[in-house]
Amino acid sequence: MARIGVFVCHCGENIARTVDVKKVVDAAAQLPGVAVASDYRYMCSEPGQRMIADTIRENRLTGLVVAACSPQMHEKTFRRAAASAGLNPYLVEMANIREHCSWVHENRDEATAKAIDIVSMMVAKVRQDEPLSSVKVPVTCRALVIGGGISGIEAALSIADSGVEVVLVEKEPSIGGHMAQLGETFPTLDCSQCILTPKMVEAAQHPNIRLMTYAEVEKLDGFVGNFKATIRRKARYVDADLCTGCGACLEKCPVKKVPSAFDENLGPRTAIYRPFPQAVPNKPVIDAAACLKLTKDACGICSKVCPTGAIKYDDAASVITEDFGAVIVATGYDVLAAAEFGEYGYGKYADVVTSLQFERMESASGPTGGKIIRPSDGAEPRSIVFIQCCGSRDEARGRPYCSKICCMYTAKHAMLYKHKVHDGQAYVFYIDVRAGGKNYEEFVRRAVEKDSALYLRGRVSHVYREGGKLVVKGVDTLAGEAVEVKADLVVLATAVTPRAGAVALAQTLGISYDTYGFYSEVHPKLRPVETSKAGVYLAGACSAPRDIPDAVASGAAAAAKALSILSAETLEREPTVARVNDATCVHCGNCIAACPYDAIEDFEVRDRAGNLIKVIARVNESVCQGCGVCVALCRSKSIDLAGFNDRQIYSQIDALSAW
Amino acid sequence: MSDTREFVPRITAFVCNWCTYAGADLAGTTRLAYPATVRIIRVPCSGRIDPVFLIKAFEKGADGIIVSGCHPGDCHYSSGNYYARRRWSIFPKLLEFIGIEPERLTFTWVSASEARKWADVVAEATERVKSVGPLAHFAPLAAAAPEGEGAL
Amino acid sequence: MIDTVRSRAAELLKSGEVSVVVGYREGRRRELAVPHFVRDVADVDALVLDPFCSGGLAVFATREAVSQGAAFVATPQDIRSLRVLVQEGQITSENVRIIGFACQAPGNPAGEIRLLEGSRLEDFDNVIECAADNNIAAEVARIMAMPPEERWRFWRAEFDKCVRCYACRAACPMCYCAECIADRNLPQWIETTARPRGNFAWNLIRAWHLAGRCTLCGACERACSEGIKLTLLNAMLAAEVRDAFDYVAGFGCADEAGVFASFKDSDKEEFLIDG
Repeated sequence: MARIGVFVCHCGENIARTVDVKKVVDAAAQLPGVAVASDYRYMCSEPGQRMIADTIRENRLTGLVVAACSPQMHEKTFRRAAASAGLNPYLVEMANIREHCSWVHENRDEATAKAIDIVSMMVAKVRQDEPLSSVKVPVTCRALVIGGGISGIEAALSIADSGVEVVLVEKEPSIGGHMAQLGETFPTLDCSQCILTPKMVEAAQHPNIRLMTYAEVEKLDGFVGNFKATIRRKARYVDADLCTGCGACLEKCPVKKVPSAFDENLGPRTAIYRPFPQAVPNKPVIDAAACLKLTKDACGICSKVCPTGAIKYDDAASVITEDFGAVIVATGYDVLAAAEFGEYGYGKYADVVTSLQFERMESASGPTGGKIIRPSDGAEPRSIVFIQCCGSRDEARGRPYCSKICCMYTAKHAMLYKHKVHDGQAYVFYIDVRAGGKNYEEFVRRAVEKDSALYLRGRVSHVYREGGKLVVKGVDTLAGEAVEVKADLVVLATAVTPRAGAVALAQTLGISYDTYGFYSEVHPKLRPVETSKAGVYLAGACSAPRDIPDAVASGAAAAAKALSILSAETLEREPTVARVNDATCVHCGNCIAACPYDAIEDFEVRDRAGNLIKVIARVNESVCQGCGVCVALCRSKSIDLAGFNDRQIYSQIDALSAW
Repeated sequence: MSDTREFVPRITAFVCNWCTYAGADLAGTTRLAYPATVRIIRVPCSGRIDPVFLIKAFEKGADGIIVSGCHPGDCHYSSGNYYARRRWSIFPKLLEFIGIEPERLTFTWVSASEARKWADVVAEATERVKSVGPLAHFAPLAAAAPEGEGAL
Repeated sequence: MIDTVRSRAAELLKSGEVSVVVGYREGRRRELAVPHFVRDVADVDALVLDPFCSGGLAVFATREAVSQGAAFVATPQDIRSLRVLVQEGQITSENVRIIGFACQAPGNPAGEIRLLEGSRLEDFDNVIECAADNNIAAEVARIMAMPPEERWRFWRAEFDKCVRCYACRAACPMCYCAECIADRNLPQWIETTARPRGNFAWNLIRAWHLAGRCTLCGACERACSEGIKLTLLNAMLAAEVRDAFDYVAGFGCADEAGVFASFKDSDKEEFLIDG
């Protein structure tokens, strides 16, 4: 005999404001199988949970419906509460009367009627629930980190330091990411390379870390604890085992004018190259599109000068598969192509550059050796205009979000410029200055007060050339007047965007992403590094624009989350798995063909003498992820899904017949 | 329901847990108002939704049905929604063929971030069902069956 | 022509390729040929072939008695049905031989019959459709052109006739489930009494479960004592599946998955309503 308890939460005023909770309780009490119905101001609070646990014990409840928020929010909370009182946690159902009801309906009668329906459906469902126990699966104790920027490096080091093996996959020939491109970092002005390089080297030399640079993840199969990743290693044309990194090939390569992506195309590189001198691994690769040997079968000089015979013109891409228990995605960001900003003259005037280009100029190891110049003639700029929010907070360009890092690096740029060109003048066009961070506001004040950067609140309408100068026309909204600034150099703080190909990678990995293409956390506040796919975590700017401290923190956080899985020998999984009814399965093959996880296999039913009676389908519970595709395809209803079985769904449909 | 009152459709929605259910949650979190015409049945994946659910929902009094899952390429189970897509490109034709107006059926994809779309889908489905009125088809059929039949 | 059928039947039995030939013998009426199972070479002379050999013998393929090697006197639809059964793992094509025939006007005493080339299912990768299909397509189009309420009335009248004898199911080569959804009661998706609501559910789900699998052999409709136009539902779904996925049951490769147990990234989604 069912003895169901229904607990209706007020959620403070969140539910009670539009839903008549008393009415819901009264209606619930009338439902078949309901033994107790009551309400409370905050069900999820300690006393609320205790009340539920006590009621379960006192009334020997056989099922529980908590009418409150979304199951995504508190299902686990109430399952734990039930378990603490000896009730199987899978005999708990959430009636979502907050997100799906009180928060979206204003009419009290309608909302109350809907809440009663939702409760009725869940009472009907819980009466069909069966006690379940979690599925235990073994864990592969190895982590995959995708992306070797600062957050990926931090994540890899954190995991490796706790004794777990890590494979760090980086698509470029060197790890380091965007941070390696930076000159000095805010708000301390320490040199980026100086703090990053030791970490890169540490990652490369760590006994638990295997670097796989110039490689990309092509496929991810499996599930938490048991992933299988397919990784494509691009052809390097240089045998990394033989190469000593002596650099003889770099000196002799005759193709010297390939624009360097690392230098943001401000300087050239050779066809055989390493992105930057401190690259890790410090071993070059050949750019197949630029190499004379590979394109025209001419040259071959690098092979001749290589003292160890490491050059391999016949190298080819290779594909490997590896097993992992957890995956950290740290693929970083791109900046918006400045070509979108025709009105600012980017692409038309050499002296309009992006912030990242400015960053390369300012770097001591950059293409100008740390000198700030006008690219057009190499002269030292007497004045610079920095334009903030190029593409950020710009509804018209589809990016209403704030790129977060630009205010700070622009202040830094203005400051460093002043340090190098003492009589120069920096102007900054801004919308707001956002300096929320430890010592950030002080840093911006320093740029304004000590290094006399002139901040102008307003947007720039356009930039044009006049008599050897760039004329920047904009408005100063504080003064309420149009302004015109003559500049030698204009620097665009272009928006932080998701990586090109971010969506394709998300689909490969099976994680979700927002409308821009940034990867989605499962909860933006409380589960900031977890994705909706168990065992896959986010680090760094792939989920939102982040500065270095944030990126490092999220890398460490993702590592901690990954370790919580990797440190267990077996993993408990939700028991939402499919099961075949052996007696009625006729082995039509639908489920076997359709299962996205290949979790269903042929099974031979034999009698005691070993004679084959029939072949049926059987689900491997440790592989099944519980999608239920098989169930919908089974004509004879010989396969069903625990937790979402046909009886449970039927009962919910049926409960609505009274609506 | 008296004749003077406006017809308020009853719509049963079958939605996947990972995208559309979460999208509807987000509609709540962001307080997007939409008509109180929908009752949601949560399933893990749009691939779990069997056409018999729809027949049963109509039998049990739904005037309309919404079926929604993750966008193609975004399925939490990588391909469940592709199977759903095949199914839903054919099954509705059968319902249409026997005389159920296509306005009663809304198939769509709503992602976890598309709160606005969910609110719009409900509003639009409500209007579409209103345009064809209450589903009178099954009521006389039900009346022809003895009480209590067809229960679990 | 019948001599050819008989001699091939005899050959197949004699060579041991099959243990039974499933064909037709004369019924009690001229317009009725009934299934006949020949296990003995001496018995082949009882086999007949005329326009009243209506097809549908594929239904016997999943019966245990014939599973150890059988030849079927088979229409194009039967051949496709057998190929679907292979695809769904119910029979192995090794065990099946075909004595194929096609009648240009089935049921019409003047209907011309010709024998089909080939002996194994693999020989019939693209077997022709039946001329009668065009008439069905026209009828489907006629119904689809009605206003919805008229369509509903049409089908209500049809389904009201149903007495839930399940003769349609028994006659269908594709209805081989050990336990039909119609016989399941936990939950009971389909009400079991012969009343309108359950009749609707039964007839819709029967048709749905045959979508992408039915070869329009017509056995269900011929078996129906009440004359319900079951083939119309089947034909309508078959046409939709063909148009949407370029898929025809029993055509092409036998080892591919069923149409709803597979997908393409490029599948159309015209059915979407985007709010």
